[in-house]
Amino acid sequence: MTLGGAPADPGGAVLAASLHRPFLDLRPSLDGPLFSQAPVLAYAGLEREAPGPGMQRVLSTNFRINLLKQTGKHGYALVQPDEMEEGARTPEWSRFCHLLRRFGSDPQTMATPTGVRLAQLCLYLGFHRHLVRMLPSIPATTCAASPLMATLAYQRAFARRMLHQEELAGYVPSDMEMVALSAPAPSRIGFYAASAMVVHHAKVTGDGRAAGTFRRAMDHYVEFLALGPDTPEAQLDRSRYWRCVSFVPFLAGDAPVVTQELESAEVLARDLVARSESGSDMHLVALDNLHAVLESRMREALWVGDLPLARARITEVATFDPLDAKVQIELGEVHMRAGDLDQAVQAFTTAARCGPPGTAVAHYLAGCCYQQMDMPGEALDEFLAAAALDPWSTSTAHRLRTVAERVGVRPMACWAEQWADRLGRGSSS
Amino acid sequence: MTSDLSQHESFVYWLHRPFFDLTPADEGPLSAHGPLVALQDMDGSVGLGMQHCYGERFRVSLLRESGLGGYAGRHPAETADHLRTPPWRLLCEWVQEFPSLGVAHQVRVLRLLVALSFHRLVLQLCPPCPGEDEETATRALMRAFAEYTLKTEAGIRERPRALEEVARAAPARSMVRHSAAMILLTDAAKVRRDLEQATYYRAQAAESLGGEPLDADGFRNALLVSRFYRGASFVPYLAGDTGQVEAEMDIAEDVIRHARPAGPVEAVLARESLFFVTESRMREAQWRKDHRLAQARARDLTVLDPWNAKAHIEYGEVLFTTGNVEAAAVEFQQAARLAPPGRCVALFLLGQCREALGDPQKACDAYLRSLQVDPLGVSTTMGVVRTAAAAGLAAVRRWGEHRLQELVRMGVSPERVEVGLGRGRPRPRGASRWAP
Repeated sequence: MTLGGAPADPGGAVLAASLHRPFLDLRPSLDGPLFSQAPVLAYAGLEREAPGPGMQRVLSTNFRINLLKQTGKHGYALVQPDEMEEGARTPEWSRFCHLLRRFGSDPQTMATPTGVRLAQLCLYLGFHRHLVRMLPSIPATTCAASPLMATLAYQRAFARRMLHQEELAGYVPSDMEMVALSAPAPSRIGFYAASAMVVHHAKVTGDGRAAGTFRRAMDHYVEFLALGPDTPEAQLDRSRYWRCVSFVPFLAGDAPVVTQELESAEVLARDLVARSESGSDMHLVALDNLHAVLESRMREALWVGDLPLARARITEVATFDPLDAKVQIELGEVHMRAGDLDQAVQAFTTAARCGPPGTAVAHYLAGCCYQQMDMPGEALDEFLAAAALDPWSTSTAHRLRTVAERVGVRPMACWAEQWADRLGRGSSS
Repeated sequence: MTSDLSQHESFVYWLHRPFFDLTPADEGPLSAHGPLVALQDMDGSVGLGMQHCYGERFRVSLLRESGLGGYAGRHPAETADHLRTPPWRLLCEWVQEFPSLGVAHQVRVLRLLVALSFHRLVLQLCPPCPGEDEETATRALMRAFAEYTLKTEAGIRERPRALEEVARAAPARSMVRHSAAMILLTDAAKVRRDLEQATYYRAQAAESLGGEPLDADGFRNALLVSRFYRGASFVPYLAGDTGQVEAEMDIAEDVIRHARPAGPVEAVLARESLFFVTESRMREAQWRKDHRLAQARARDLTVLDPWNAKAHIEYGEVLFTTGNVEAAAVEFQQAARLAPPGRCVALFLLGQCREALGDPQKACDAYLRSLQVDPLGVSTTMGVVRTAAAAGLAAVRRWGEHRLQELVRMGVSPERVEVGLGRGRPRPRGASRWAP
């Protein structure tokens, strides 16, 4: 997707910085993945002081760290927005910081429409730790009494979950559960919190009964939606509903119902894309939703063992969101499963070119493909690139040693061997 | 944002370790012995230095490309306390106490600082002062050489008056006068193409060694004689006398091949000299348009110094010129792995090879990686635009076009546009042929 008339980009020396520019300074990028539009839309809503459609995809906390690391943007904000050097601030970033100072110091001022939009922008930009620190823990009674407080509680819980993204095993979403159970019903925030709980039980605890309980909370909201007008927002929520609740039959191993429910999500998602005006905010949000639905449908196809269908679904996503590294990695993995290593390498190198998220993984997987294709020189360079981004990967260290030996770069093989040993000692201690 | 790497996770550190902390690497390029030889010579036991001498940009590249933020960039004391090895602590002490050290000690500290590419610090420690005895003249030479290296790196091609002054004032038949004359001879030949000046300094350099014919008995004499003829052959080269160039390069090669080094330091010095002689002989073969011989000599460079990125760049270029593009790409890949110096150049040239081999997508990736090292590369950005268009990478092409406009607005030198294989190219900077 392309945005015309973007202002000059002083930080555009690196492709990845340019593609993800909104995360750096809230200016639109010339080209970029769909998700890089999320902060732009959120900032626009903040400026016009009116609600607007928001995207579903929120990048992990590590995305921001990797973006700054990979693009060498040392003067930019890592943990909190006001870390950004004065000289690098755009007027948009300065205003964002100003509003945060004005609203962020007091939970009461945050519990306003502007405060909620500011918190949402922090979520999109990856300032999760800052958001958790800024917002106090909100009790259930306050949540139940105030939709704005419930929204802040949800955003805080969401940010806390993002901080645990890398290691969900030890994460207990008591705060999210509280919002799901105590937010005014029926409400969109209660619905979002319940959907987060369904996903948590599906992916982490595997507790089908608990997932079913929260599914019923979501049912109430969708029944409520049916009573109102058929707005794009309502259609979006219904599509999200079907995508999320399909986890319940998935946990029960009921493939036909999973397919049926995801089919409903897809029909609604496609219709919303078709109905929204191309280039409009709603169109971007609709594409973002279709992206999420088709990713789920790809996983569904893999689950039922239909590799060609999985490939077709993720290929479609890559067609309308080609600069999303995660999509390219998923595409590459499907190609790899199908034994099509040339296509897999193509997808992984595209992912690596786009930048975060997943750059180290993309390089690593490209290296694995090259190894299988008996191209050790290419494999070596990919493993080296992966090692530079993720020096804690034992698999990369081992493979690097093997291919460096094969290529005849003896010092590199010795270095990789020692590095692998150190990592091994570290993990065993 | 600071780096979160430890030194053990950096291959650049592993390969170039002496430049970081003055401890030996298990294996690395010959140039990495430079700081260790200078360190060993702190007691005067070596008496000879290596010719490899990188400019400050090399040090900047080392720190940036290693991802290690705790090491010194401009001053040894910048190295974090926990990263300082015992020899590095000594260096810090010597620098701190520099004014109170004896002149001979000062000279050795300066030599070590130059070997570590702390040229600006040499200028700070050592104010300009004429030297008339051997020791003070050598101190003045170190300062003049540091200044000359910094100016050369900055593209300032003015007459090296400080070096001329050292050569003029130094005692006759001294090593310091010889060293100054050799640098001036190279400068006159390579930078100014001034046959008269080159001839003058050749005579001065020869006279300082006792006059021609030179005595090549013993390792030290053999090394100096080989170094002398390699530099001196610039004079017949400027005069267009092919036969004389070949004859003098024969002497340079023959003498160093027959030299008998005693001990590991002399062995490194001999190998380094043979490397430089072979490099010059490769150029001599290119000059005579004997491409097969040039290719063989370039290959020898990668055998003599297999972990030297520059050697692989040289070999790759010769292979490219002779139409072995695939083999050239392999050398440029290897150079990029072993760099610095020259990562950005190696990746740019790899991009050129891949373009020539009809693989625009891989070429584009090589250009993009090169731009991560040098974001101001106009030719490289043009390569991105060209190859992205050919590979159907629309967003990358648009980014490249946008970036080119920015570079033009920033006033980046348009000469860089013409850079490319077969059209002159950016060279890895810094490896000086003559270090005092």
